[in-house]
Amino acid sequence: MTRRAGPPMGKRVTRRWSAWLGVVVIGGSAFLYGAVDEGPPRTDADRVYSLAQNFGCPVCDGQSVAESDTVVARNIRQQIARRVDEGRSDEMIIAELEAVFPGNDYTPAASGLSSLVWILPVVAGAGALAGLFVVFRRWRQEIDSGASPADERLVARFLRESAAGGEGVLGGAVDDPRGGVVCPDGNAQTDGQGDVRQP
Amino acid sequence: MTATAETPRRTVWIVVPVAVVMLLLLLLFAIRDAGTGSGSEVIGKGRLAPAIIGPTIAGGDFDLDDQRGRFVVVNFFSTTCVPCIREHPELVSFHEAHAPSGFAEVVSVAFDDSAANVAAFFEANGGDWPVLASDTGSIAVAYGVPLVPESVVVADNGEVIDKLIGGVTRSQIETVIAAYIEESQA
Repeated sequence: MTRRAGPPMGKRVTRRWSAWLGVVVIGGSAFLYGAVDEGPPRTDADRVYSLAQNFGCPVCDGQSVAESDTVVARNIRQQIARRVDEGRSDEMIIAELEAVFPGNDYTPAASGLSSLVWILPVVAGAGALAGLFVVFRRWRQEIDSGASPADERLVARFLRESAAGGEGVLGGAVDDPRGGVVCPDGNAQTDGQGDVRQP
Repeated sequence: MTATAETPRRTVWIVVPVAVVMLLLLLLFAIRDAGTGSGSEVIGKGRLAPAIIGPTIAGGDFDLDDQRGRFVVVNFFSTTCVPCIREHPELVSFHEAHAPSGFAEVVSVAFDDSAANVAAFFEANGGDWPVLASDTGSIAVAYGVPLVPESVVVADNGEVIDKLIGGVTRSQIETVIAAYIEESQA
Protein backbone atom coordinates (compact mmCIF):
# COMPACT_ATOMS: atom_id res chain seq x y z
CA MET A 1 0.00 0.00 0.00
CA THR A 2 1.27 3.42 -0.85
CA ARG A 3 0.40 6.81 0.64
CA ARG A 4 -0.05 9.83 -1.51
CA ALA A 5 2.29 12.58 -0.43
CA GLY A 6 0.82 16.08 0.24
CA PRO A 7 1.43 19.08 -2.01
CA PRO A 8 4.98 20.36 -2.17
CA MET A 9 6.15 22.91 0.39
CA GLY A 10 6.08 25.82 -2.12
CA LYS A 11 2.47 25.17 -3.02
CA ARG A 12 1.47 24.93 0.62
CA VAL A 13 3.09 28.27 1.39
CA THR A 14 1.39 29.88 -1.61
CA ARG A 15 -1.97 28.48 -0.51
CA ARG A 16 -1.42 29.77 3.02
CA TRP A 17 -0.55 33.24 1.79
CA SER A 18 -3.51 33.21 -0.56
CA ALA A 19 -5.75 32.51 2.40
CA TRP A 20 -4.25 35.43 4.32
CA LEU A 21 -4.57 37.66 1.28
CA GLY A 22 -8.23 36.68 1.01
CA VAL A 23 -8.79 37.55 4.66
CA VAL A 24 -7.10 40.92 4.20
CA VAL A 25 -9.03 41.73 1.01
CA ILE A 26 -12.41 40.76 2.47
CA GLY A 27 -11.71 42.47 5.81
CA GLY A 28 -10.38 45.60 4.12
CA SER A 29 -13.34 45.77 1.78
CA ALA A 30 -15.78 45.41 4.67
CA PHE A 31 -13.94 48.10 6.63
CA LEU A 32 -13.90 50.45 3.64
CA TYR A 33 -17.58 49.86 2.94
CA GLY A 34 -18.46 50.52 6.57
CA ALA A 35 -16.39 53.71 6.60
CA VAL A 36 -17.59 55.14 3.30
CA ASP A 37 -21.18 53.96 3.03
CA GLU A 38 -23.66 56.42 4.53
CA GLY A 39 -26.55 53.99 4.56
CA PRO A 40 -29.93 54.76 3.10
CA PRO A 41 -30.68 58.44 2.46
CA ARG A 42 -31.98 60.18 5.59
CA THR A 43 -35.08 62.32 5.59
CA ASP A 44 -34.98 65.88 6.88
CA ALA A 45 -36.93 64.76 9.95
CA ASP A 46 -34.27 62.12 10.65
CA ARG A 47 -31.57 64.76 10.40
CA VAL A 48 -33.40 67.16 12.71
CA TYR A 49 -33.92 64.43 15.31
CA SER A 50 -30.33 63.21 15.05
CA LEU A 51 -28.95 66.75 15.45
CA ALA A 52 -31.30 67.44 18.36
CA GLN A 53 -30.13 64.24 20.03
CA ASN A 54 -26.51 65.33 19.72
CA PHE A 55 -27.01 68.75 21.26
CA GLY A 56 -27.55 69.24 24.97
CA CYS A 57 -30.34 71.35 26.38
CA PRO A 58 -28.58 74.45 27.83
CA VAL A 59 -30.76 74.61 30.95
CA CYS A 60 -31.36 70.91 31.62
CA ASP A 61 -29.39 68.33 33.52
CA GLY A 62 -28.16 65.68 31.09
CA GLN A 63 -31.02 65.93 28.61
CA SER A 64 -30.60 66.52 24.93
CA VAL A 65 -32.60 69.07 22.98
CA ALA A 66 -34.57 66.16 21.50
CA GLU A 67 -35.64 64.94 24.94
CA SER A 68 -36.28 68.19 26.75
CA ASP A 69 -39.53 70.13 26.59
CA THR A 70 -38.16 73.44 27.88
CA VAL A 71 -38.74 76.58 25.85
CA VAL A 72 -35.11 76.86 24.81
CA ALA A 73 -35.03 73.21 23.70
CA ARG A 74 -38.14 73.75 21.61
CA ASN A 75 -36.64 76.92 20.14
CA ILE A 76 -33.43 75.08 19.25
CA ARG A 77 -35.35 72.18 17.67
CA GLN A 78 -37.26 74.67 15.51
CA GLN A 79 -34.01 76.42 14.62
CA ILE A 80 -32.45 73.09 13.58
CA ALA A 81 -35.49 72.33 11.41
CA ARG A 82 -35.25 75.76 9.77
CA ARG A 83 -31.53 75.31 9.06
CA VAL A 84 -32.10 71.83 7.61
CA ASP A 85 -34.79 73.27 5.34
CA GLU A 86 -32.32 75.93 4.22
CA GLY A 87 -29.94 73.16 3.17
CA ARG A 88 -27.20 73.77 5.71
CA SER A 89 -24.87 70.92 6.60
CA ASP A 90 -24.97 69.17 9.98
CA GLU A 91 -21.56 70.63 10.85
CA MET A 92 -22.70 74.17 10.10
CA ILE A 93 -25.87 73.81 12.16
CA ILE A 94 -24.06 72.39 15.18
CA ALA A 95 -21.30 75.01 14.89
CA GLU A 96 -23.88 77.80 14.88
CA LEU A 97 -25.66 76.41 17.94
CA GLU A 98 -22.39 75.73 19.73
CA ALA A 99 -21.37 79.36 19.15
CA VAL A 100 -24.43 80.71 20.98
CA PHE A 101 -24.85 77.88 23.50
CA PRO A 102 -21.25 76.74 24.07
CA GLY A 103 -20.45 73.41 25.70
CA ASN A 104 -23.58 71.56 24.58
CA ASP A 105 -22.30 69.68 21.54
CA TYR A 106 -22.37 65.99 22.47
CA THR A 107 -20.34 64.94 19.42
CA PRO A 108 -16.74 64.28 20.48
CA ALA A 109 -14.28 66.51 18.67
CA ALA A 110 -12.14 64.90 15.97
CA SER A 111 -9.06 66.76 17.15
CA GLY A 112 -7.02 66.99 20.31
CA LEU A 113 -7.53 64.63 23.25
CA SER A 114 -11.20 63.98 22.38
CA SER A 115 -10.11 62.37 19.12
CA LEU A 116 -9.00 59.37 21.21
CA VAL A 117 -12.68 58.42 21.38
CA TRP A 118 -12.51 57.77 17.63
CA ILE A 119 -8.93 56.52 17.45
CA LEU A 120 -8.80 54.02 20.32
CA PRO A 121 -11.40 51.60 18.91
CA VAL A 122 -9.53 51.56 15.57
CA VAL A 123 -6.21 50.93 17.31
CA ALA A 124 -7.77 48.25 19.54
CA GLY A 125 -9.28 46.55 16.49
CA ALA A 126 -5.97 46.61 14.65
CA GLY A 127 -4.20 45.28 17.76
CA ALA A 128 -6.71 42.45 18.06
CA LEU A 129 -6.21 41.52 14.41
CA ALA A 130 -2.44 41.59 14.81
CA GLY A 131 -2.75 39.43 17.96
CA LEU A 132 -4.90 36.91 16.11
CA PHE A 133 -2.37 36.83 13.30
CA VAL A 134 0.49 36.13 15.70
CA VAL A 135 -1.46 33.43 17.54
CA PHE A 136 -2.49 31.70 14.33
CA ARG A 137 1.09 31.73 13.10
CA ARG A 138 2.30 30.27 16.37
CA TRP A 139 -0.28 27.49 16.17
CA ARG A 140 0.77 26.83 12.62
CA GLN A 141 4.41 26.60 13.72
CA GLU A 142 3.51 24.13 16.46
CA ILE A 143 1.62 21.96 14.00
CA ASP A 144 4.45 22.16 11.49
CA SER A 145 7.08 21.25 14.10
CA GLY A 146 5.39 17.86 14.59
CA ALA A 147 6.76 16.66 11.24
CA SER A 148 10.09 18.11 10.32
CA PRO A 149 11.68 17.43 6.92
CA ALA A 150 13.89 14.78 8.55
CA ASP A 151 10.82 13.11 10.05
CA GLU A 152 9.11 13.17 6.69
CA ARG A 153 12.15 11.65 5.01
CA LEU A 154 12.26 8.92 7.62
CA VAL A 155 8.57 8.11 7.25
CA ALA A 156 8.83 8.12 3.47
CA ARG A 157 11.75 5.70 3.69
CA PHE A 158 9.75 3.49 6.07
CA LEU A 159 6.76 3.47 3.77
CA ARG A 160 8.93 2.64 0.77
CA GLU A 161 10.54 -0.27 2.56
CA SER A 162 7.21 -1.48 3.99
CA ALA A 163 5.76 -1.48 0.50
CA ALA A 164 8.79 -3.46 -0.64
CA GLY A 165 7.95 -6.17 2.01
CA GLY A 166 10.67 -5.50 4.53
CA GLU A 167 10.30 -4.66 8.21
CA GLY A 168 11.31 -1.12 7.47
CA VAL A 169 13.87 1.16 8.85
CA LEU A 170 11.75 1.92 11.91
CA GLY A 171 10.99 -1.73 12.60
CA GLY A 172 8.23 -1.12 15.17
CA ALA A 173 9.22 2.38 16.03
CA VAL A 174 7.28 4.10 18.77
CA ASP A 175 6.40 7.70 19.31
CA ASP A 176 8.61 9.48 21.72
CA PRO A 177 6.54 11.63 24.10
CA ARG A 178 9.11 14.42 23.61
CA GLY A 179 7.84 14.80 20.06
CA GLY A 180 10.23 12.60 18.09
CA VAL A 181 10.33 9.00 16.98
CA VAL A 182 12.61 6.39 18.55
CA CYS A 183 13.66 3.24 16.73
CA PRO A 184 13.81 0.16 18.96
CA ASP A 185 17.06 -0.99 17.44
CA GLY A 186 18.62 2.27 18.53
CA ASN A 187 19.90 3.11 15.06
CA ALA A 188 18.14 6.39 14.62
CA GLN A 189 15.85 8.73 16.36
CA THR A 190 14.39 12.11 15.54
CA ASP A 191 13.90 14.89 17.97
CA GLY A 192 10.91 16.45 16.26
CA GLN A 193 12.93 19.54 15.35
CA GLY A 194 14.22 18.25 12.06
CA ASP A 195 17.44 16.72 13.34
CA VAL A 196 18.23 13.00 13.25
CA ARG A 197 20.37 11.90 16.11
CA GLN A 198 22.43 8.75 16.38
CA PRO A 199 22.68 7.39 19.91
CA MET B 1 17.69 29.72 6.44
CA THR B 2 15.24 27.59 8.49
CA ALA B 3 11.47 28.05 8.63
CA THR B 4 11.60 28.88 12.33
CA ALA B 5 14.05 31.72 11.79
CA GLU B 6 11.98 33.06 8.92
CA THR B 7 8.74 33.26 10.86
CA PRO B 8 9.56 36.12 13.25
CA ARG B 9 10.94 38.11 10.33
CA ARG B 10 7.72 37.63 8.38
CA THR B 11 5.72 38.69 11.43
CA VAL B 12 7.84 41.82 11.69
CA TRP B 13 7.23 42.58 8.01
CA ILE B 14 3.49 42.48 8.68
CA VAL B 15 3.31 44.07 12.12
CA VAL B 16 5.59 47.02 11.34
CA PRO B 17 3.60 48.33 8.31
CA VAL B 18 0.34 47.89 10.24
CA ALA B 19 1.81 49.84 13.16
CA VAL B 20 3.04 52.58 10.82
CA VAL B 21 -0.38 52.89 9.17
CA MET B 22 -2.05 53.04 12.58
CA LEU B 23 0.33 55.76 13.73
CA LEU B 24 -0.30 57.78 10.56
CA LEU B 25 -4.03 57.40 11.10
CA LEU B 26 -3.65 58.56 14.70
CA LEU B 27 -1.62 61.56 13.56
CA LEU B 28 -4.20 62.40 10.91
CA PHE B 29 -7.05 62.33 13.43
CA ALA B 30 -5.06 64.25 16.02
CA ILE B 31 -4.21 67.17 13.75
CA ARG B 32 -7.47 67.24 11.81
CA ASP B 33 -9.49 70.34 12.50
CA ALA B 34 -13.17 69.85 13.28
CA GLY B 35 -15.46 71.38 10.66
CA THR B 36 -16.86 74.76 11.51
CA GLY B 37 -19.74 76.69 10.12
CA SER B 38 -20.01 80.27 9.02
CA GLY B 39 -20.33 81.53 12.59
CA SER B 40 -21.82 84.76 11.25
CA GLU B 41 -24.57 84.81 13.83
CA VAL B 42 -22.44 84.40 16.90
CA ILE B 43 -23.61 86.57 19.75
CA GLY B 44 -20.65 88.15 21.46
CA LYS B 45 -19.11 91.45 22.40
CA GLY B 46 -17.88 93.38 19.39
CA ARG B 47 -19.80 91.27 16.88
CA LEU B 48 -22.65 92.52 14.79
CA ALA B 49 -25.96 91.90 16.57
CA PRO B 50 -28.12 89.23 14.92
CA ALA B 51 -31.00 90.56 12.86
CA ILE B 52 -34.33 91.27 14.50
CA ILE B 53 -37.08 91.69 11.96
CA GLY B 54 -40.76 91.12 12.59
CA PRO B 55 -44.21 92.49 13.36
CA THR B 56 -44.82 94.30 16.63
CA ILE B 57 -47.87 93.80 18.81
CA ALA B 58 -48.91 97.37 17.90
CA GLY B 59 -49.26 96.32 14.27
CA GLY B 60 -46.05 97.86 12.93
CA ASP B 61 -42.83 96.31 11.65
CA PHE B 62 -39.50 96.36 13.41
CA ASP B 63 -36.03 96.01 11.94
CA LEU B 64 -32.99 96.35 14.16
CA ASP B 65 -31.00 97.76 11.25
CA ASP B 66 -33.33 100.78 11.18
CA GLN B 67 -32.07 101.69 14.66
CA ARG B 68 -28.50 102.45 13.55
CA GLY B 69 -27.32 105.68 15.11
CA ARG B 70 -28.84 104.99 18.50
CA PHE B 71 -28.18 102.50 21.26
CA VAL B 72 -30.68 99.66 21.57
CA VAL B 73 -31.57 97.51 24.53
CA VAL B 74 -32.92 94.18 23.30
CA ASN B 75 -34.89 92.78 26.22
CA PHE B 76 -36.01 89.13 26.28
CA PHE B 77 -38.84 88.63 28.74
CA SER B 78 -41.95 86.71 29.63
CA THR B 79 -45.10 88.02 31.29
CA THR B 80 -45.06 85.11 33.75
CA CYS B 81 -41.46 85.59 34.87
CA VAL B 82 -41.13 87.41 38.20
CA PRO B 83 -37.68 89.00 37.55
CA CYS B 84 -39.04 90.25 34.22
CA ILE B 85 -41.95 91.94 36.01
CA ARG B 86 -39.52 93.44 38.53
CA GLU B 87 -37.17 94.88 35.90
CA HIS B 88 -39.93 96.35 33.76
CA PRO B 89 -40.15 99.72 35.60
CA GLU B 90 -36.37 100.12 35.15
CA LEU B 91 -36.75 99.69 31.40
CA VAL B 92 -39.63 102.17 31.37
CA SER B 93 -37.46 104.66 33.24
CA PHE B 94 -34.51 104.13 30.87
CA HIS B 95 -36.75 104.52 27.83
CA GLU B 96 -38.40 107.72 29.10
CA ALA B 97 -34.98 109.22 29.80
CA HIS B 98 -33.21 108.38 26.53
CA ALA B 99 -35.72 107.57 23.77
CA PRO B 100 -37.17 111.09 23.21
CA SER B 101 -33.72 112.46 22.36
CA GLY B 102 -33.03 109.57 20.00
CA PHE B 103 -30.05 108.45 22.08
CA ALA B 104 -31.41 104.97 22.82
CA GLU B 105 -34.31 102.65 22.15
CA VAL B 106 -35.72 99.57 23.80
CA VAL B 107 -37.17 96.58 21.99
CA SER B 108 -38.81 93.71 23.84
CA VAL B 109 -38.86 90.16 22.52
CA ALA B 110 -41.38 87.85 24.16
CA PHE B 111 -40.09 84.44 25.17
CA ASP B 112 -42.74 81.75 24.68
CA ASP B 113 -45.65 84.06 25.35
CA SER B 114 -48.82 84.97 23.50
CA ALA B 115 -49.31 88.33 21.83
CA ALA B 116 -52.51 88.84 23.83
CA ASN B 117 -50.75 88.29 27.17
CA VAL B 118 -47.91 90.59 26.15
CA ALA B 119 -50.28 93.34 25.04
CA ALA B 120 -52.16 93.10 28.34
CA PHE B 121 -48.87 93.21 30.25
CA PHE B 122 -47.75 96.44 28.54
CA GLU B 123 -51.19 97.94 28.98
CA ALA B 124 -50.97 97.31 32.70
CA ASN B 125 -47.28 98.13 33.31
CA GLY B 126 -46.49 100.82 30.77
CA GLY B 127 -43.78 100.96 28.19
CA ASP B 128 -44.05 102.53 24.77
CA TRP B 129 -41.55 100.76 22.59
CA PRO B 130 -41.62 98.05 19.93
CA VAL B 131 -42.56 94.61 21.24
CA LEU B 132 -42.25 91.42 19.21
CA ALA B 133 -44.32 88.46 20.31
CA SER B 134 -44.79 86.13 17.35
CA ASP B 135 -42.21 83.65 15.97
CA THR B 136 -39.57 84.92 18.35
CA GLY B 137 -37.91 81.54 18.98
CA SER B 138 -35.32 82.02 16.24
CA ILE B 139 -34.39 85.45 17.65
CA ALA B 140 -33.89 83.95 21.10
CA VAL B 141 -31.68 81.20 19.67
CA ALA B 142 -29.67 83.68 17.57
CA TYR B 143 -28.99 85.71 20.72
CA GLY B 144 -28.26 82.56 22.76
CA VAL B 145 -31.05 83.12 25.26
CA PRO B 146 -31.87 80.01 27.29
CA LEU B 147 -33.85 81.70 30.08
CA VAL B 148 -35.36 85.12 30.75
CA PRO B 149 -34.86 87.88 31.58
CA GLU B 150 -31.81 88.67 29.49
CA SER B 151 -30.90 91.94 27.81
CA VAL B 152 -28.41 92.65 25.06
CA VAL B 153 -27.09 96.18 24.69
CA VAL B 154 -26.40 97.06 21.05
CA ALA B 155 -24.23 100.01 20.08
CA ASP B 156 -25.20 102.74 17.63
CA ASN B 157 -23.10 100.99 14.96
CA GLY B 158 -24.97 97.71 15.39
CA GLU B 159 -22.37 95.76 17.34
CA VAL B 160 -23.05 93.97 20.61
CA ILE B 161 -21.70 95.83 23.66
CA ASP B 162 -22.77 93.45 26.41
CA LYS B 163 -25.19 90.72 27.35
CA LEU B 164 -26.82 91.19 30.75
CA ILE B 165 -28.18 88.01 32.29
CA GLY B 166 -31.02 88.40 34.79
CA GLY B 167 -33.02 91.49 35.64
CA VAL B 168 -31.47 94.84 34.72
CA THR B 169 -31.66 98.32 36.18
CA ARG B 170 -31.59 101.66 34.40
CA SER B 171 -28.25 102.58 35.97
CA GLN B 172 -26.75 99.26 34.94
CA ILE B 173 -27.63 99.85 31.29
CA GLU B 174 -26.39 103.45 31.43
CA THR B 175 -23.09 102.30 32.95
CA VAL B 176 -22.56 99.77 30.16
CA ILE B 177 -23.24 102.38 27.47
CA ALA B 178 -21.07 105.01 29.17
CA ALA B 179 -18.16 102.57 29.44
CA TYR B 180 -18.51 101.74 25.73
CA ILE B 181 -18.54 105.41 24.73
CA GLU B 182 -15.51 106.12 26.91
CA GLU B 183 -13.63 103.16 25.48
CA SER B 184 -14.40 104.04 21.89
CA GLN B 185 -13.31 107.65 22.39
CA ALA B 186 -10.02 106.67 24.02
